[in-house]
Amino acid sequence: MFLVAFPFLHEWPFFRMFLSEFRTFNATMFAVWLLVLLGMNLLTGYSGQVSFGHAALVLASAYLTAVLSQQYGFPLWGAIGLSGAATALVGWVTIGIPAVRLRGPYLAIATFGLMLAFPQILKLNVLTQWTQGALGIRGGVVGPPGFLGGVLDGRAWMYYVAMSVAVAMTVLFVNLTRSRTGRAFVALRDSEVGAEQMGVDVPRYKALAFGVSSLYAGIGGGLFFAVQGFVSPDSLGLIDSIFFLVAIVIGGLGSVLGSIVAALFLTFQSEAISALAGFVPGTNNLRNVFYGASLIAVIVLFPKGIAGFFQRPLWPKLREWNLGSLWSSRS
Amino acid sequence: MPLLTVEELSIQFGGILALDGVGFSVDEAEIVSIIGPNGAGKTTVFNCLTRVYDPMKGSIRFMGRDLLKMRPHQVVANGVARTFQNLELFSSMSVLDNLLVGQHSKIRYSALDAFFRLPRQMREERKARSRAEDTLELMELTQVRDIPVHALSYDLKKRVEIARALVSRPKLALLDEPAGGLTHEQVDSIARIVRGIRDELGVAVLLVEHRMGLVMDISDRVCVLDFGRKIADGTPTEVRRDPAVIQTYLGAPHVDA
Repeated sequence: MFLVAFPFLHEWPFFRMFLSEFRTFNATMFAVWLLVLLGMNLLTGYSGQVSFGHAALVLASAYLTAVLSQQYGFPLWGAIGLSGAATALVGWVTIGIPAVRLRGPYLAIATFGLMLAFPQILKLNVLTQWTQGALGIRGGVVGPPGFLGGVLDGRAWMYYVAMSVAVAMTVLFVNLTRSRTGRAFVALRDSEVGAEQMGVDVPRYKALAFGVSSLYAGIGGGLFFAVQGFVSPDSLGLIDSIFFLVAIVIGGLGSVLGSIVAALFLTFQSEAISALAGFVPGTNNLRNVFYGASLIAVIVLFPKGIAGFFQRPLWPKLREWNLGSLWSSRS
Repeated sequence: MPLLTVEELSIQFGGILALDGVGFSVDEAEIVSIIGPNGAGKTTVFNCLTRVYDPMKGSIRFMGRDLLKMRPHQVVANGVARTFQNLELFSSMSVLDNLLVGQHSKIRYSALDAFFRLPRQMREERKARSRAEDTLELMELTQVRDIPVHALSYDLKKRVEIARALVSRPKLALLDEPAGGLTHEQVDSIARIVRGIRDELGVAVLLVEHRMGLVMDISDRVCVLDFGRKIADGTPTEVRRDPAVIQTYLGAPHVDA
């Protein structure tokens, strides 16, 4: 699946001859959203815990990166790594462990509360010396290292960094989901008591899912600041948390391909809806109607998400009819 | 010394004594059945053994260890695996993956090994896969290995439940109504499977079952519960002749066998 992303690496500069430079920025944001949504999908799609607080985690990490790099002189990439690790720790210990006791709608409400509170906390006066209050923090210009200076501009460099991180972390994600740990996440989603009796320490794994999910949100948040060059308390809010959830459901829960589709959705949604509304003259103020209608259409047509649609109908049938009969004739 | 010794087990739910001083034992490679009318406390015994419930009093000793000191997820690592009456399979996962989760306590590598696919992870996964394949073959499930469990028929799901318990190589398997809802032919194959568990794998079986024919046919010993109390205990022949048992089963002198 991650191979799909691979050709982009080579082809993008080539495509740039046809496409505007803005597309490079789109692709960079795609990489950022992919990280965030992989994390979101791990938590909700794989381990079955619903969070309305993910935008707060992303925002927190973006702020931490901003403060570390702009005020304490950390190198930007170091600051992103550190913020990712810190977010993972916060998600694991201070959210994941208490959240173990909360299920379904209760967890959703608790994380919703976190999401509501966080932007205002960023504006608190006592924190202004770090957060700059409502003004937010501006980042410096990020350019490629010297030896690449002639080949790449800042935008292309940022694209390569973000995309490499996203691809690498997608590979790690696939590794994790195909391991004992990943299977335990899905098992406790499908049957908590079943998982527990098979030896899965359910509370521990629920918290771990929160931790790993937060790591992805954190790295995504750090890159978010680097890419945008700016972060303020209003950069991300409740609506983004909801969009993250919408995106992974539309893309496909519990699937890497689903997360990729989700990231595409998040990157291009407003543009696509504008284009859709543009087709029919005089409907510009009906954008949200188009948007809502297409969400409903996708959910009805693809109940398992868009990725689920592409993965499902083919495989079981192929296996049953061809391979299945091969096996039975052998045994 | 018996493999499993249960003594004076009592548990209360909202003022009702679901188990009242129940005691029994299971020897190595022995099939012991727990029977009794609905609500007699059969599944409750299982749930106490695997720590889903906390009994008020009593002791449960397995291979010299105190099961009551363990947390639920630690029970299987100590050699007691179970199935569920109402199926608690991981329905979105393939049969093979279900059997890999069944070995969760056997597979030894960390989340970090998994992230980076380190040699230790590869080695452990290979071992786990081959154990799973062996169990699939034994349970005649190889053909459905890669099919998601929700797509299987009911009797195949029942068999996956048993396979998932056995794949952890327990010393004692707790089977909760493995024949419930199955046809006559399927019950016969369950009888064969349970005997195979004892004879070929050397695993002791504690069986909760309503099908008297099956119970009387395969059990070494039978323990009869009624309203949370043990009313009889012995070989199938002894139990069938026991006046208290005959009384409980509405005076039917030969229970369905």
